[in-house]
Amino acid sequence: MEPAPRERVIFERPKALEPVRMHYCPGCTHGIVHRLVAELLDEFDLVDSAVGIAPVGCGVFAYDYFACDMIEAAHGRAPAVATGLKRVRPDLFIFAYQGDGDLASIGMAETIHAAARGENITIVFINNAVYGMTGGQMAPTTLPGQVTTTTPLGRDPKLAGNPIRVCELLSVLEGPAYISRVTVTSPRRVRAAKRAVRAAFQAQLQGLGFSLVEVLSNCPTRWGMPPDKSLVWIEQNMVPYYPIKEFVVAEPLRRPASREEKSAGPPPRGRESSLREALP
Amino acid sequence: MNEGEFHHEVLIAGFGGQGVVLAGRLLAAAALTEGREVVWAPSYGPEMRGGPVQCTVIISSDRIGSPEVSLADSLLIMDRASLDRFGARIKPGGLLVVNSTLISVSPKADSYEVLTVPASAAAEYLGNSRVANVIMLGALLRKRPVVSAESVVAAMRQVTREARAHLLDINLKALARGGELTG
Repeated sequence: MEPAPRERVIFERPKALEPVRMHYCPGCTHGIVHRLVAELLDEFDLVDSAVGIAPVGCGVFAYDYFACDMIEAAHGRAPAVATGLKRVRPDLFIFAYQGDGDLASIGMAETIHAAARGENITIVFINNAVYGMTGGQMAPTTLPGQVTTTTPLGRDPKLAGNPIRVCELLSVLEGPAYISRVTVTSPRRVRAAKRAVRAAFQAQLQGLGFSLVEVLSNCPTRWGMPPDKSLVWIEQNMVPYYPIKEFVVAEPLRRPASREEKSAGPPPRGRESSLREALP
Repeated sequence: MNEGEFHHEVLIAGFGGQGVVLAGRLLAAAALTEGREVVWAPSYGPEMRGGPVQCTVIISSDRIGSPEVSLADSLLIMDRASLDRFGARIKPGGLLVVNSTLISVSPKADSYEVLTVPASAAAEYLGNSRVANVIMLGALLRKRPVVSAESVVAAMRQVTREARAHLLDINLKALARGGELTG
């Protein structure tokens, strides 16, 4: 008799992610970033010793999705709440998960001061250039010319100001130990994003100071386009304005570039067509 | 109410993605083109797709004192959860329009009129399930012509961006189809 084929688990839900249905729109990249954070909570065995701070914005229900303890902060105040928590309980791993409206508009003061103080906390910053939850209004990160419900003719920098590059802004401060911008438009980008989030986690675990990873994300619903096109839109419109790179890497976090990173360079041409082909 | 005075309150409810907010906006914009006083008040939760959404529109010949609609003259219900939540928010003599494709129960009707419209199925048949909202609107306007169909068409042209211009045609069909389904 032939032996039964042995089953081997090669992919499963991270323990740090609750087995619940998420409320995010079809094609939203929040799910990918949730998963990356959860995988790293698993990797560093932090589920029982981490506290996450949920934002106000589309990510508000993050407290239902992560299996660690979670706190909902007032709009934009996640870095302040994280600061208090980490100072009272330095033994805990503290991360905030915030969107661009939360972090770069109403919470900009908390963001900058937490970074300047070098608080030993980690922030995952989702930048999709729009207020998704409230109805697609202009955000501080909305690109020049971008149409939103409050800039129906496109954002005019003369009238509505210029988009804010958060990583660049924070990287001139002395407090940050790790600042990086990534995106999740392709499997390679997702792997690079995971490396960045891992480095940000390590910064806190090694007590090096403030760490932040900005993830250029999509909003198919509010950009008014299908998910595949929204990923192309990130590459074609957001990446040129918000360059993908590491801005601050504290010495203990430096590592030799992987072969993949060395060969990365700019995204390949014809990305749109390759995405189209990937669709059924 | 004196002769010539007009006041009508509409509540539309469904889930995110069904076009509840847009249906209300079309109604409001149409009433504006007719020189009415209008309040349009959409309300939705943190989820843009799938979460509960409601939208109220008040159309009046006089200035409107309160934007709040407690009991509606007309109630448009797009899904079952919204029927449970808003089904009672209707005035005696009012009109309840239910999307019978997604709502299998027949609401009791003693003091108000019930109209069942298979809006989602009819929208699919027209080629795009997303025009179910306009079908519901068409049904409402046949029974309660609070604005003219011409004004709604004008409103559609007004709120439709260039990039969406190709959707105008199916929406015009949906508006007409909604009227046909009432009788």
